[in-house]
Amino acid sequence: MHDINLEDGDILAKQKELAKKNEDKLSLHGVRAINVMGAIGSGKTALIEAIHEKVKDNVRLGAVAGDVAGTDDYDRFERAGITAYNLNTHSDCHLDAHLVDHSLENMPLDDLDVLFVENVGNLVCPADFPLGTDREIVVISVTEGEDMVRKHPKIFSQSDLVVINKVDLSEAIGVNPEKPRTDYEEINPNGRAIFTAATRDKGIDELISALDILEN
Amino acid sequence: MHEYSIARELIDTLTDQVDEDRLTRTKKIHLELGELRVISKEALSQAFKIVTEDTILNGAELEFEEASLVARCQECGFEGEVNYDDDLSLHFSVPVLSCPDCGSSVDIVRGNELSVKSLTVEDSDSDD
Ligand SMILES: Nc1nc2c(ncn2[C@@H]2O[C@H](COP(=O)(O)OP(=O)(O)OP(=O)(O)O)[C@@H](O)[C@H]2O)c(=O)[nH]1
Ligand SMILES: [Mg+2]
Ligand SMILES: [Zn+2]
Ligand SMILES: [Zn+2]
Ligand SMILES: [Zn+2]
Repeated sequence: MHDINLEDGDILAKQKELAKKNEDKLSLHGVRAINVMGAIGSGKTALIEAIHEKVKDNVRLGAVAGDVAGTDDYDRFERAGITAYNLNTHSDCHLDAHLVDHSLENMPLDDLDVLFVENVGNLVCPADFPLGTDREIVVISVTEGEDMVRKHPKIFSQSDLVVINKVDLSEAIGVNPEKPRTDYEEINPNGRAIFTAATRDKGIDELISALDILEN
Repeated sequence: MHEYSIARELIDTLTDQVDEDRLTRTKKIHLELGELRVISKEALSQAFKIVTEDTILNGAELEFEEASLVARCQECGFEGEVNYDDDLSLHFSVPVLSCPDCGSSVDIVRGNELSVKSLTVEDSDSDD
């Protein structure tokens, strides 16, 4: 028996390479892409819809609906008038750069300014897979309780923007939204946490400006 | 549970860089797995076994070297292990990503590893 070493042992090297390719392609077409990660049902789709509603006269938004199965989110985007692509992962609990590459091939990139890539609802797996987007945000909501940030240190430590959604429900369910914000600021003092209620138009303007959606 | 995806990336990494002959003779694959990766060793081994069945890598086993978390404080210069949150409601112990001495935020020195360190390969006549 003998041991051999690999030139580059990084298991995610190929994913990183594909992510770089996506990044180059997006910038070539002048599209700014945002990877929207977050807990299942936290309001990722609702936030994208709410943003679109406010900026649609000025910004051409696109969205990739990443889901294990089905076209529910895709249908919602289409109904809202957002240029959308349905991306089913079948069994995988996260998107990867290869799947996003296929999405980009099927989207009219020259007709878009900003592309939201809605990841599969999951706070663990998406954190390991870079997609080639310019920004990464993580969406949680108060209905998941106060400990979401503490339970998932990796994803929050590597994202510079966290959205704490459904704050309209915080009193009714007795969850203090300040708790995840404090936890997040502890992990990531350079990051920013924004309180929103996507379905009540709360915090959406702040989110639009934090994401530089209106910038050209 | 993304161990199947990781297993497939691992196979790509190996087939890209190691010739078939050596892969056929590979007995052990030594991996370095950072604590922050939240990847289950059992699930990854199981996924790898299933995905490599009927391939030249059939029978090769994964061996893990765990890279436990090491953080460096951005303020006070502390470098080392962080505290853990053992709150029962969390179901498992989670590293607290802030300085155990002064509470400031930290850089991750170790804990994000996900790589192949080496392969243990059976000798053959053609080896030099
Ligand atoms: N009260 C309240 N409900 C909300 C808010 N945002 C979203 N919802 C509701 O929460 C549910 C889930 O919202 P979605 O936008 O589908 O969440 P998602 O994160 O895209 O869900 P998945 O893609 O399935 O992971 C829907 O019924 C929304 O109407 C909010 O701010 N307040
Ligand atoms: Mg959705
Ligand atoms: Zn393909
Ligand atoms: Zn998973
Ligand atoms: Zn310190």
